[in-house]
Amino acid sequence: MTNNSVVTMLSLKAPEVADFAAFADHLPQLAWMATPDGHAYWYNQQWYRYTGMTPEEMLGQGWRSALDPAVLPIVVELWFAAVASGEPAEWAFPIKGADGVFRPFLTRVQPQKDEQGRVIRWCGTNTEISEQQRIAEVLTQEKLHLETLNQTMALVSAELSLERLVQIVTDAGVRLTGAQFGAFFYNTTDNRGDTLTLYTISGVPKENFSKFPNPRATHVFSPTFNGEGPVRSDDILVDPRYGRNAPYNGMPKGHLPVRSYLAVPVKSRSGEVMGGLFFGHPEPSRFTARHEELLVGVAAQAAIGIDNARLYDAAQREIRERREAEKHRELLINELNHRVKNTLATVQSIAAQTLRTSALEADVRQRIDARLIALSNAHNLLTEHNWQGTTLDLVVEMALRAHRCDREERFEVSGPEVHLSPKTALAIAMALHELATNAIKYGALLNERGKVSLHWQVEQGDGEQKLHMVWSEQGGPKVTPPSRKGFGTRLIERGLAAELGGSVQISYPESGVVCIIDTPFPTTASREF
Amino acid sequence: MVAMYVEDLLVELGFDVAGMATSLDQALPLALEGDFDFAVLDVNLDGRLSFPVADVLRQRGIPFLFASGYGSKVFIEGYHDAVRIQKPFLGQDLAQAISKIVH
Repeated sequence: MTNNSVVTMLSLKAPEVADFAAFADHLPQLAWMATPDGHAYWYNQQWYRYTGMTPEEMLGQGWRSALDPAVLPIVVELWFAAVASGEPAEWAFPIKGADGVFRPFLTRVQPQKDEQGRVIRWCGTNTEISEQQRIAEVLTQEKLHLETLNQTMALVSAELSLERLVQIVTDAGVRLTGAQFGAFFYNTTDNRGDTLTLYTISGVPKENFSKFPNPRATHVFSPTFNGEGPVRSDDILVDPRYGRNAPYNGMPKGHLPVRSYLAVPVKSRSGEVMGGLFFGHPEPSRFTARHEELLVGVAAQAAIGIDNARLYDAAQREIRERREAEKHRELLINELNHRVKNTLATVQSIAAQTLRTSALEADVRQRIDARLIALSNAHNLLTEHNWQGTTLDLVVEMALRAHRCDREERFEVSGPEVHLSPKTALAIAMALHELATNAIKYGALLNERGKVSLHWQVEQGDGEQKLHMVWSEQGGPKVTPPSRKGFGTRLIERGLAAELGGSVQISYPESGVVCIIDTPFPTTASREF
Repeated sequence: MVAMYVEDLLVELGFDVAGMATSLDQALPLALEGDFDFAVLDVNLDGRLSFPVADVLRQRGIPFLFASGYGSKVFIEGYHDAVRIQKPFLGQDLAQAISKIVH
């Protein structure tokens, strides 16, 4: 097939001179010939058609009148420089059409030389490049737009301050649309959570707007504030939506002149209208569909940025409030501890005054004091942990501290880390105090050899965990069960059991006192006082 | 009430009690003009903190110790190093604290 068509083409007869003349006249370009010294002597029909000039007008230097006087001297200089060099050349400059409009052309000149290399003729063409130039301009513009969009996106995604964010977005809108000025009216909440509308301005000083009230949902503005979609008007003054709302019926006096108008709503992902971007220009028909498209993109970015800024703000506020609440709670707990301990000191004082006359004074007073201080220490421990409970090892350490001093080697304490509620911690601390006091007075710690072991473990019960704790004494004097149960024993057996909701058993084998505490879990932090 | 108890404890420990104040208004003149070797200050005097009294005592070079119902983590700028005992306390705790400030 291909071969056949090649053959067909080759078989056409060779063109004759008249064919070439017709061909030259019907070239889509303007074409011409000039003498070796650079004087044009022939133009094709397309030249005459485009310039609207006659062959008579083209005589001599007639072509010069088709050029812009501003560029003519340069073109003449370049042309004669090419003539002098005898080398091909090309330039772009505008040529005036028959309608008086200058259009950009690419001009190419090519010398025809004889066998000695002398120029015998110059051939030139002028090709219109309006479309290329327009495309180049559009591309440059698009590149600028994309750069602006990219920069805006980068800035917006990194910006957590709402105020700076809306400014970035508004500035970007002005750059992208070529507006004289732009404004971003947006809803926000103040520290108390009340909604208010703020705005930012780009392109002109803020004072140009500060004397006007915020825009209301007029016919022009409501599509934006209701989130219905963009509004673009080539001339807002003749727009049917314009001037229909009292009291101003149009722009308020002193407003910057607006003819071209473009506004887009800024909506969050949830559909909430966060505000609107508004752009104006004093000349009509400045905003195109492309501008509108770009702005819609900017508005989407703005919405994401604002959402982020709001989330960040909300998180910050939450953290601040929590910190304050935490601080307040700490203060309250400290104050409470102070009062509890003052009360205990008062009780101590009353007991001391009351018992002053008693024969038993010294011993009784000591025991009361020691118990009150054990209770007070337990309160301190819990306060240090903000009454969120504490751990068993800390309770044991605190409760036995006084009893263990000077006889550390006689205690053997072990058990896993167990978290206790404040109530449990207090009860166990008091019980340990009583057990240790008894051990010193009657038990394993009375002589020089006896030992106390305290072990605990967590056991799996029926569906719940249990704390199993064993206090056992060995090596002390032979134990005889007490004939009467003292306060200490009762406090342990009855008080502790009731507080823990578990069981406490004290037994008195001869080898040494044994106390077994079983209490169900969870005993973790609950606020029981 | 607590002050009475402290007074008794001090007497038992062999000290003479030069004066007693239960409010800041009573304590300040005592601190400014009183003639005594040391002072036991409750951090909280009838709802007001007793640091102004401590300031005066420090100025006069009179040793003092704090008795406080607040936990060990609560204290005020400038008095971190002051000797303090936690209420309620035993006579022996008080004696020990006094021995730290009076030489």
